Amino acid sequence: MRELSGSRPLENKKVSPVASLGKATSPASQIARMSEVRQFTAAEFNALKVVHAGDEGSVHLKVFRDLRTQLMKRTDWRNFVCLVTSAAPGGSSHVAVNLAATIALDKSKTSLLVDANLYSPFAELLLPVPAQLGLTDYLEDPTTGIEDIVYASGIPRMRVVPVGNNREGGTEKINSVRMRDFFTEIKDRYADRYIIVDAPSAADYDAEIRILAELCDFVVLVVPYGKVTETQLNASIDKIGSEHLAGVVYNWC
Amino acid sequence: MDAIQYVKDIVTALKRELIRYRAAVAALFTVLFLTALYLSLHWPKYYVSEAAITKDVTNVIEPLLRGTAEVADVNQNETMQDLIFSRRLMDRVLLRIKPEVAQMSPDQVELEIIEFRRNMAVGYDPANRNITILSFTSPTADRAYETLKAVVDVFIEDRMAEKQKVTYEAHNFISDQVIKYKRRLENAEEKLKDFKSRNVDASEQAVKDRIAQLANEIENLRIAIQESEEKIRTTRSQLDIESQNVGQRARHRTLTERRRLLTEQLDQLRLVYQDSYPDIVALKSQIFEIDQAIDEYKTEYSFGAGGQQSELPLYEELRKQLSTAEVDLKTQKRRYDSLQELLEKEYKLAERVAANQAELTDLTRDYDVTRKVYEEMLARKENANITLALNDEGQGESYKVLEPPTYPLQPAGVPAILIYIAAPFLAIAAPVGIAAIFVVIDPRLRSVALLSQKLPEGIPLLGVVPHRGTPLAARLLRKDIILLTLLAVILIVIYGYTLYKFQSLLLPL
Repeated sequence: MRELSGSRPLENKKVSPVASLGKATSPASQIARMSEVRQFTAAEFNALKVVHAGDEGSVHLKVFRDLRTQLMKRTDWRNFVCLVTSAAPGGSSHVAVNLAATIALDKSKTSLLVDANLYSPFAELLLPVPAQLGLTDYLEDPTTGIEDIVYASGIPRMRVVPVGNNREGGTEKINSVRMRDFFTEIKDRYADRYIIVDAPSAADYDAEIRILAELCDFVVLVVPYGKVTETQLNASIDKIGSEHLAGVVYNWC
Repeated sequence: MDAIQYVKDIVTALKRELIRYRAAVAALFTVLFLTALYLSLHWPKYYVSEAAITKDVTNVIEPLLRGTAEVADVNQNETMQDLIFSRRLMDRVLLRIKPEVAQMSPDQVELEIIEFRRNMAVGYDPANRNITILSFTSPTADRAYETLKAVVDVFIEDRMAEKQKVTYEAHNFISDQVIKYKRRLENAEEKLKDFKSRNVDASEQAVKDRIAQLANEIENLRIAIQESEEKIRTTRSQLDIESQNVGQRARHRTLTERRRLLTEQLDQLRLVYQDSYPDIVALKSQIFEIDQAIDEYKTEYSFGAGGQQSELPLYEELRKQLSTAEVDLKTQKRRYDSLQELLEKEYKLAERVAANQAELTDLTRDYDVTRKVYEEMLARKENANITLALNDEGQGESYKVLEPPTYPLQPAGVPAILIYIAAPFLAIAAPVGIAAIFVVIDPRLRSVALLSQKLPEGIPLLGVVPHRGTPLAARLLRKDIILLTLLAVILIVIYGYTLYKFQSLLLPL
């Protein structure tokens, strides 16, 4: 886990979106009152290669905005659960994080990045404060609630569910009823929350991808530069199933 | 597929790969650059001497024997290349430029010849196939020039000698032929003479004439015989008639004689007696009777009174004529027989003469042909003599040195300075080329254009995320760049120093 430098001593404060549910009257005011941790500086955004409001005018931002719009159009601007996987290891986390960050740029929407990439997690990097629990802990321990694993990130209006500490038997965990409930729960709780799931590579983790594709609304397949042959691409598309696949994103990395 | 997009993608990918493997690229560049620099300093200098020889395609024996006998073109199949690279000539050239070759072992000589063959080149002027360009390549100008000069000299000498030899051979050949034909001609002449002496009379025309003459004579003789026979027959019949006449005349004469006697008696009696005397009367009646008989004859045979004298000579004449005719006939017949015999003989002769004539024609033809060839050969022999004389005086060469071997003043080939200048380009071309080949051949998708083409039906390409260099990556890159810049500076210094230090080697003077 990466240590971020900061002048302020960082609290390991869990932010529960559930906590503020009762008080809000409108989604906008609710979002405005979302408790936030310290936000990333432009340099931190750049180091993480994540788009931010200061990127206005960059090609990157334009690409992700375009992607966001296409996906939202797919569900008629209703919220969705989108799985982002890649045809070869690498490249999918970048797309997932940036997609989530781009959605969160809209002040009337929030995004939640679920890091289901048990084998090379990335989401922890987005947390200014190190997380203690994560998705795997939630799936393992029934006493853990959703509010325990959702963390505020350094990006405004974006929440993160990190992988957690309990990574053994990932396939089984993902294939559990609790996982299914988790997805239903997070999607249904807020109508303006868009959920992006960062999944492991479709090339290496067949079972996970098949299950997650079932659980999510649709899948975005990332094709990283110089890593995928046509055969591998077609194999990945077959695993996901063309009915789940929203489309392909080419990533120059 | 969008071709422009594809090319753009490939260029981007190329850049990416070069940056990704920058360490390897820098290493390869450095190695190649230094190698090229080293090569430029040790670039072999060589000199090429050139000469041009033209080939006169005609040869000596062909015009000499044109029309009489077909002969193979002497040098048709031997190209100059074969000649120059022939072991015979090369040995001589080697001996001329390196006298020590004579003491060398066969192995060493073989090596020398291989070396010589490698440096010697024989080509044709593209504009004129008859002009042959010889060139010799050597590390030194002197050796290039001297070797090529030796090659050209030896070649020309050899060709001259060869031509001389060929001409002599042709001349000798023709002389031999002339002698042979002369002998044959004499032989034919002898035969003809012999034949003629054996068959002096044997002129066909003469025999023919004689046969005609004989036939003519025989014909005439046959007619003469017929005539004689006719004459004999006529004479005989006349003789018959004449002999009859002679009897009658004798009777007539007897009667006339009796009448004359009686008349005499009467006349005497009348002198004595009267007419009425019985004797006289009797006599008168007798005379009367005789007159009657004479009249009868006269009327019956009517010979004139004048013919009385010639009656006997006619008969005699006729008889003479008959006997003459008979003698003639006999003579004629004998002559006829002998003529027939002669004709037979002539016919036989004619047959023999015809056979002789055929033989004579044969002999004459043989003689004529031989004489004709002999005369021609004689004429050609004269030509050969002239050609020989021409060759002896060195005229009518079939190979000429158009351009004598040149002394090379400048080294040939790619100058070292070019290698020196090209070194950095060559060095960068290799990694870029390898990367380009890798990018194009590698089946992994490196192009958006290619990806959108390969995507299955119904799956959209939602977006293309461009490469984003992070500040951290930039920092790393900067470290690399410092190293690379350092390397570049070192290489540039080496580059400049090389030119300064080895100016004489690199720059042609």
